[in-house]
Amino acid sequence: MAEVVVSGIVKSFGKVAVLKEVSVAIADGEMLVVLGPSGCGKSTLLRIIAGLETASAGDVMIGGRRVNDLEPAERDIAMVFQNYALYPHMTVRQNMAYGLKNLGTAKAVIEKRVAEAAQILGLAELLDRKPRQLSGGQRQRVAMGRAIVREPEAFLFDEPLSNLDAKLRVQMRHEIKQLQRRLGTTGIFVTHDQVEAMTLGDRLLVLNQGVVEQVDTPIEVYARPASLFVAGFIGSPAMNVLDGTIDGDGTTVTCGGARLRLEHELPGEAGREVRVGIRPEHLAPIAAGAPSPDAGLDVEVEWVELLGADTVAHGRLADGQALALRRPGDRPVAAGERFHLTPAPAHLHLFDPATGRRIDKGRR
Amino acid sequence: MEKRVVFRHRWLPYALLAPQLAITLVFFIWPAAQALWQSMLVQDAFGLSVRFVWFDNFTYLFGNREYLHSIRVTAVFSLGVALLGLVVALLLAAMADHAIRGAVVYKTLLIWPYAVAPAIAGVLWLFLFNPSVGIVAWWLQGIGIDWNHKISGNQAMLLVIIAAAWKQVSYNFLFFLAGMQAIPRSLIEAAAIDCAGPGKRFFTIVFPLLSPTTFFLIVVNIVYAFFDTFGIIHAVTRGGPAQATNIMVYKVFSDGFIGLNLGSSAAQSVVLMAIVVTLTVVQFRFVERRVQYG
Repeated sequence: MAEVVVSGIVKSFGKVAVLKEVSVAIADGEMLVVLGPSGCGKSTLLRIIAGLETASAGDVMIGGRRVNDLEPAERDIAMVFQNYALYPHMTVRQNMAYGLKNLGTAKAVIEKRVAEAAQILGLAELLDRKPRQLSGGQRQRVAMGRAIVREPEAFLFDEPLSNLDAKLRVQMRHEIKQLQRRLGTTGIFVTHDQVEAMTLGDRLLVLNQGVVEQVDTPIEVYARPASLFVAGFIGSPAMNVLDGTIDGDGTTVTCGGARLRLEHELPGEAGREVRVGIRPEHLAPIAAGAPSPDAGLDVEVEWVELLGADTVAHGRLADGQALALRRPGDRPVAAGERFHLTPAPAHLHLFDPATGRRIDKGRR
Repeated sequence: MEKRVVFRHRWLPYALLAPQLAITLVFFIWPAAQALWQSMLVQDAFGLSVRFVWFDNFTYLFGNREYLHSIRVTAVFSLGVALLGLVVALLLAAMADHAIRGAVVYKTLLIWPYAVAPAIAGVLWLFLFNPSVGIVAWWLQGIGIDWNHKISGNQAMLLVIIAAAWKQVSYNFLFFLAGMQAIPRSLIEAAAIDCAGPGKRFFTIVFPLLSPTTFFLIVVNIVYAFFDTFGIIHAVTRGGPAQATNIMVYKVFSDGFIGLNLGSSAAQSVVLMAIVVTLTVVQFRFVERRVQYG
């Protein structure tokens, strides 16, 4: 168990930079989820921490030890691969014992640890089977077992759940989370699945084209996305993003033909062009005929997705910008219906159109 | 969906098979049958008197010291060729697998020896090891080894093993390399995390995963050493000195065509035939079924 610190990691393949100065400190016992679309460099980052890939620049520290020049086996980490990477010619027991055996651990200790891990993961009956005789979920557990018997400083997970079916994925997600909590081992989990990221991580690192967009708790990342990219990547359906302009006194923003109140005043920003983000679930319709305190967004519904628990209505504002809103599943919505919508000021997100970064009070 | 091709005409499938059947019949079945028949005959060198003797030729063969010696020589030779050919090929394949750049060049260069005819390969090595003018013999002289395969039976054996294995290395290399490249990268990476030593990693992970390939190659190499090395023996040692490299297939030739003992030669062919049939059965039985993972 140890702190893992990554500082200024750069990785380029020829002229293509895959990682651009990535830095993050993962606290002892913390689970950090690295989230990003495919090709953003998240797996490369993990492989650099594991030592399977060499960084072009920057340092990796595990437990205060600089491990840049150490072999993967000397870094005291364990990795769970996407396709499990179980040794096909070894039994489950041999698979789990292999790493310890190579470290010269005493036989009795190996046996004890393998038995413990098998107990935790429910593999006791399968110890003498070969990987090909196991189901996908069981193989996944063996891969986990192989990692935990090592009692490493850190677990590295490279999209370990993406080969499982949906139901099993939910279960394994829960198991991994519980296991990591229980063992208190530092974990780094790479995924492109935002649900996995939200549920597993103590903190999220959102990576986009080799650049860290945001590092924060899942709820903060959802509630206060640091950039347009994060805003669009987290949340389903994606956040609505409208063009807007800050009004004269800095207390409201005009967008989509409506004047929306801001949570914090932005004095001296009058006339500034902004991008306004509003999540579909934060668009509350104002009851027809009720006097509205603010002028709201007028939207005409074009098409509807019935998801059961929710209904997502896609429509257009008067000025032609698209807008999606989420309604409870038991309230039917029909195409052609009109809504008058007002988001709470706290749920408005402002972004700079040029940099894509979030505009906060007192920060540009 | 029906995947088999169904022919409308009754004669068409036979017509399509006919050329291959004719070749098999004329060049394999007929000579084999003739050898079987001849192995039970005793005839003089001119073919004037022929006597049917049942299995006397075989009884004589397995009581003959020279033939038993030839079996031993063949065993040493074929194991030597298989071992040397496989080890060198495995080493080269491991290195080529490591080098991603230039791998194509390696592969092409390493495949060349396979295209060399056995007799040429034999002559090539003969030159290198020639006791009076060969460069390798000269080097060996330099480090105090007196090389003369024309006198020393062991040296002659070593020379033909080297020459025969050299030709086979490229073939083995190709299979080993393909086998190594078929191992998923993540397995090698998992091993890199689990085990620091590259040598140990190779012997505990890569080599066991190559076992189907290795087994297949052992059989192929033994078959090669048994049957396809005639040219090398003929060019380099002619079975000598003092029968030291007189492997079974060479003895068939020397007893039959030089000694003109046709009955014994035919009986020896039949023994070889039995061996190749056995090896083929082993090959199909074990390679196809037992040694498989995944």
